[in-house]
Amino acid sequence: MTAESTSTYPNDWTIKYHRQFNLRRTLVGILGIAVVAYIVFLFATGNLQWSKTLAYLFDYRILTGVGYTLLYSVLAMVIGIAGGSLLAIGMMSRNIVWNTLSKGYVALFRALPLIILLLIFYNIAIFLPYIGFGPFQLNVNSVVTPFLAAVLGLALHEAAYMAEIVRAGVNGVNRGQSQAAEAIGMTYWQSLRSVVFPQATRLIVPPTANQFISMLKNTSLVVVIAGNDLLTVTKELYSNNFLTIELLFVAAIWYLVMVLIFGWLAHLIELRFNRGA
Amino acid sequence: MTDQMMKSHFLRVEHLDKWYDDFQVLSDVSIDIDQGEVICIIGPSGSGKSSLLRCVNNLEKIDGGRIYLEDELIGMAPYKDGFVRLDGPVAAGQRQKFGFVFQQFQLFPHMTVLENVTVGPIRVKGESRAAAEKRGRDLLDKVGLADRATSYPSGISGGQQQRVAIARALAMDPQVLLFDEPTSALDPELVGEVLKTIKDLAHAGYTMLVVTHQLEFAQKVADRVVFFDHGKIVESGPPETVLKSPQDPRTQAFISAIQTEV
Repeated sequence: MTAESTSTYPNDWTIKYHRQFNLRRTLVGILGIAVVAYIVFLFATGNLQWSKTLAYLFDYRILTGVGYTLLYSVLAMVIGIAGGSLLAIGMMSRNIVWNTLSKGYVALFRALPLIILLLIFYNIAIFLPYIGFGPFQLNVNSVVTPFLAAVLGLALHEAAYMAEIVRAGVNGVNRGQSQAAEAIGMTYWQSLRSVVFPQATRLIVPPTANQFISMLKNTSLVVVIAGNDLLTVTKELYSNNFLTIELLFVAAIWYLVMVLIFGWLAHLIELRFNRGA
Repeated sequence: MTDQMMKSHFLRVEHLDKWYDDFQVLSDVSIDIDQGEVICIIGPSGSGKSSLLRCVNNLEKIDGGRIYLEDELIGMAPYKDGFVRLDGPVAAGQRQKFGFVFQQFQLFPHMTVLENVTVGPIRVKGESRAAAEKRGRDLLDKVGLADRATSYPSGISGGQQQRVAIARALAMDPQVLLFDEPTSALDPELVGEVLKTIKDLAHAGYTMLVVTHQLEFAQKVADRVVFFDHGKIVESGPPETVLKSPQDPRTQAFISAIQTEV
């Protein structure tokens, strides 16, 4: 009888755990809820017309700004990744000139605040009105629009950071791998291309996705050169209608939405690249 | 060496010196190897056996001496009153003549087994994919892994990985095969399959330098056994002599130490 019951009810030995009431834990929980409730109360009663925020959320000017912010981010990242990869190769090069130049570039562009870079590129025509060789002269003032200044500033800054990420990725590949590539007769470049870079990608992609998310927010600095991005548009709108906070909230909501979406994508990419590890 | 009457050895290692900073790993190492000869190199770890192999195929720079394969100077070229170290395509071309099998296999993890074997012929030799794959499958068949062509290295055992690494080396049609402790990273039950593959290659007439701790394997396969200690050749000769009745006390101590391992 007993033997039969143990074999038919294998769960007899399962333990059912209960949560015991704990006063301290409950009070701390209530405190958290109270803090959040108070903040919600402040927002609800604040001197702010939520209806205006809502109305401007999908305003075509705001949407254009969102578009520019995405465009700047993508362009700056594409150029930054390409430039950063070249810089990384330069930093690992045995050619002393390129090695020094690459390291110098990274040191310089990581040291300068992005906002200074943007202002310098925007005002570059004061410094260099014309560039060119002999008869081929370029009027810098007509070429360097706020758009170009913004892309250049963001991309050159990003390239310095990407250079370090790419270099760390390449260094993260086992030294024996490049030796194995050399042992079957590959040259340095062949081994980089076929063996080292494909393996470094796994290490490079996750931090690059993070860089893109930072870039989404960093583009807001182009407001100082009126680059038509989300914050520039927002600022223009509120300087006319004085709905300052309402419009800043519009911008905040869009940045939040973009970062959440791309953060989720970055997470998916990271999962995918970690799978083959 | 310029004397046409003197029959030159196939692979010549002459008075090799190699330093790591101020530590000398190889000092005045000379070995002559004839085509088809199998040399097993034994000796305590840290004695410079692996460094010797890495110097022979120019993975590492040598500080003194010369290496010749079929009278071609390896790794450097005369320049002014000295030499320049070869690099780029010329060095790569020389390395192709040596197949190297690493202790840690070093298969390319992002490629399938077949791709590991064909990447060299395709990228380095410029063979067509179809031809390289046909040859690659033949080689995988030879090492007993025809059915694992589409697996990735992470999906096969260590012994299988090392056999793929051997097939990868063979795919470049090397003139010399260098084995750097090919079974030291393997679980004991996987050692046999790799040693058997190497033995088959020895019988097929490949010229080989094998760094190993498997004395029984050396006994059966080697034409000559070289005992290495502190970067120097202590003793060399036929396996019966070096392994069964070693002359030098260091060789005697090493061989008895290995045999009383249990």
